[in-house]
Amino acid sequence: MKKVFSCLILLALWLKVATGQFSCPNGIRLVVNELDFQVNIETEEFTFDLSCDPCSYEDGVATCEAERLCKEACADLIPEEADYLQQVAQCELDCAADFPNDPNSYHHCLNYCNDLPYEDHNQCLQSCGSTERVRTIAQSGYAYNFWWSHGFTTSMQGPPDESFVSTPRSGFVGQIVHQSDQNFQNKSISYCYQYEVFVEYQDGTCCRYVGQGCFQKG
Amino acid sequence: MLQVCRSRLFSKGLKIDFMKRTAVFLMVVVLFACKKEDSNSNELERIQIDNLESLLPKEQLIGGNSVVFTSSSGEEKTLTIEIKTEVKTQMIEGRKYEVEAFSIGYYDTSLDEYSLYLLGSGNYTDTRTYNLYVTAGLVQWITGYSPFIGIAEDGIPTFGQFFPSKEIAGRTFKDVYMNLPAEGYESYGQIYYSAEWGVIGFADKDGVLFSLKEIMR
Repeated sequence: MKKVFSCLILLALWLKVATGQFSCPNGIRLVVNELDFQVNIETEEFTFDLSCDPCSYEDGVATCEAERLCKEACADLIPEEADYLQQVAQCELDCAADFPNDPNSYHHCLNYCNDLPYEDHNQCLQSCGSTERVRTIAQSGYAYNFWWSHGFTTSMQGPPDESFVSTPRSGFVGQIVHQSDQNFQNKSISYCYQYEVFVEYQDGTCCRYVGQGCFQKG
Repeated sequence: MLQVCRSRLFSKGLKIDFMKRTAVFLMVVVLFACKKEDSNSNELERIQIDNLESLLPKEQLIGGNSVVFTSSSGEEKTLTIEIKTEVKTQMIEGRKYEVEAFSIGYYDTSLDEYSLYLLGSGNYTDTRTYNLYVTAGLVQWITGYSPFIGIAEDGIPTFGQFFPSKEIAGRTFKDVYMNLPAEGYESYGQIYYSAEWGVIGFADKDGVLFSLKEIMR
């Protein structure tokens, strides 16, 4: 019963994650070739925005100082209640004037009026996560774990069959290739994997990428 | 005169014998060097993990024993330990090498949803250098994230964070390693490790935190 349950989970996960491609919001893209497990990590000329995960953690809670301060500053753009009501009232008058004979457009316009006073605030919040600047990579590293089984998979639990934990190295990790002497390409094999990549920049920020999936061949 | 001749002959014989021996010795040395060179070109030096002893709780955990974890509300989970010592064959840049691996699996025999593990092993990072590490993790394939910790030979967490003291589900532990948090994964999102006790805490599928209560012998 347990084996059947494990198989069902693995099958469902395989169907779910078999695409093997993960896009990251800051210019790094990880492409997983599941046939022989290779993770290619591509950059875009070291130009990233600020929306990636921070690398400073305090008591298990991640805080991104730059983004937090930026969002706090945006709070100044939230309109006072009287100002809000005045802007909405003016907007509604404008809608009535603009669409006197078009009820649909008029109602659509009214919906927009409720958000209008917050437009500057919303734009400010968006800009906090998308301001681009050039950062230089100081060091990077990665770790991965593998659980595999030949033939029909029964369970992938406990310690990994293959593991790799790197020490931080200067520069950028370009590609992750597993080190097992298992030949993934010519055999019927099932495996599950997970990996984590970290990149630390010279300005003290960093990004982490995690991924996991299962793959069945043959 | 006869004495001198015999002495010279004897001396000459000794020289020839010495030369023969030297030649044989040199051939052996050359053959050995060639063999060693040949061996070096195919296989890298075996990675031994003796230096990880201080990071692995080998004395506390014994195969077949049960480990009891408890939540702050008193709920208990009992996991059974399996220990393995292996030598694995790996490959880097077309060259094989052997690496020692000491692992402990924590299994809940009534469920197959998750398991815990710790592993001490090493890897070559290129054909000249290798590093040793201890990794501890929680394995599950449900949420899309299985937390793990990576600790270097010198005790520095390369994947994770270190706390001199940490409270986990109402119990305080010393020298605690924890995985880096992954936002959005409350369930199965945390694992804690100490070199003295092994896995000392984890979050279950409901996000409830459990900490080590007892190792039953």
